[in-house]
Amino acid sequence: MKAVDKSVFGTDGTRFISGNILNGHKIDNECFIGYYDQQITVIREGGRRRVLGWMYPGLKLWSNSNTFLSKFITRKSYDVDTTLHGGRRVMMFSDAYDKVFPMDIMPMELLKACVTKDIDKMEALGIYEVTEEDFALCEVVCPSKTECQQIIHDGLTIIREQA
Amino acid sequence: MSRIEKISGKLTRKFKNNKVLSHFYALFDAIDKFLLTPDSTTLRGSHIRDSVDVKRLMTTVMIALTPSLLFGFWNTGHQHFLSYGTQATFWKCFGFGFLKWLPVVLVTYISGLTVEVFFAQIRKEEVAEGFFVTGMLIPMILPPEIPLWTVAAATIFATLFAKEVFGGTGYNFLNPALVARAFIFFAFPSVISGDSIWIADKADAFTGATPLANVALGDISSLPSVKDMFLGTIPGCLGETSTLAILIGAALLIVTDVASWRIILSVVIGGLAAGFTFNLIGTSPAMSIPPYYHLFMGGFMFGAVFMATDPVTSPHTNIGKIIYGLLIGILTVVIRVCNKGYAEGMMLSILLMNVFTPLIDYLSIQYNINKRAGRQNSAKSNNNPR
Repeated sequence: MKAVDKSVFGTDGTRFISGNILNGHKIDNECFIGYYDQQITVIREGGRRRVLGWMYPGLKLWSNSNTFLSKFITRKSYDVDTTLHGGRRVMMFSDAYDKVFPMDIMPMELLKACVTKDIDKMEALGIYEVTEEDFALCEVVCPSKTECQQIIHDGLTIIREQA
Repeated sequence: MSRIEKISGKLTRKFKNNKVLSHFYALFDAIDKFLLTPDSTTLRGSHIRDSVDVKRLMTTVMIALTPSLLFGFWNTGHQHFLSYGTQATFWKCFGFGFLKWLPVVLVTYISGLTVEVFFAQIRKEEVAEGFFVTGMLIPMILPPEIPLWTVAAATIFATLFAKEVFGGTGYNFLNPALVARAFIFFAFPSVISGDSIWIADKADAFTGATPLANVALGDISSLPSVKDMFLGTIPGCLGETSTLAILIGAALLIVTDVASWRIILSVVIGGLAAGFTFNLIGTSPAMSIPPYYHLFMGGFMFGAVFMATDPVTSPHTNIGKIIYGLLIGILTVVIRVCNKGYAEGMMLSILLMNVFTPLIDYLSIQYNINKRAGRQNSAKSNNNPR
């Protein structure tokens, strides 16, 4: 893995992930793959800053929203890295979640119930039917960069402690 | 790492550590993040993220506002020269309007951003993008003859008491731009009512009544033609006159999925339905105007496209959005037709429905909870036939 580190992405840096890109965990280049994981993912480490990034037409950037031109041309491959693409904001765009959440559960309301530690509401909104991985796609598309998986993880932990 | 990134890194350290400069860190951070995208990377959870962020969404709204804004600049000049009975060239009209509005826009941004940056500094947070849109919306719903001190007072009031006291962008329950206008309307009614304010520096002999003022007086014979109202060559606020320009912006917002088409469509349907019902009653001149006139007069379309669709103050569920939109449309026309004292109902009906948004959301969440509970009960009874 050390050999891979410099050779693939050069000086940009490389991120090794034990598991998949959505819910795997970051490992060191001298580390081992996790016990429960069966794959290793290697992607480019992000963090480069673009001048006036909000102005770009966005031909090369991947987005599930329709605000980038890449959505309207048939582009098939994207160069993705680990950049967060923005600062953390308050949760306010529920439409983005609804597009990628297949179950009959209100994702944003469940997240809010978890944040406020309202156990009755969490149960009523279906916390027992989800795990944190179910919210991985919500986390990917969230414009406010909310840590959805961590919030659900904390919610499930509270439920387990109370049980 | 490029040179500009190095300079930014150096300045960031300086603003963070220096005793005097650290008081201005929020301001520096806002400018820095405006010029360069943030360098933060994912720490846990998903390792890749969507390229979209709140800044991008707000930029899209700003682009959607541009047609109305540019048309408004031209129309301000056009109406001014028209009141003197002269015809001016396109650029003369545009230049007149631009110079008329530039101070208003600047005053709004400076007064509002000062409050925003001040609160961001106290809370040690980033400056949220919400005000960039609000600061553009406030001038667009004001008449050209508005005194600058009222603009500053209203902007500061709205930012402070409609947004920051509740926790900043995302926690407010009223649309800040509309609160600014409501503040002017109720605190300084003399500067935002009457016939003389809708045309910039108009000639004294010319009546500058807006179509809505004519309707309120029951004088529907002097309404401008439908074509004029649709294109927007009528007196009025900066952004609201041209339905065509607003529809161009609406198309962009709907294609990019930034604004909810459900809200826009249901506001229009609600307005048309209420207008049609009043036609059936038809006891006063205001009741008997064709329903589609309401869409072209005053701020109806501007409110439907840019104000009602504010993601923070509108309901989060799809069914809630439809109910919210329909009620805004109906209430607007009811206020316009039944309330002679105040011709424009859009501002009040959106503010009223903003207040009801938590209730609408509560009911639609409760509906989902009940539906889930019902499904679980039926699944249980299927498993145990006894």
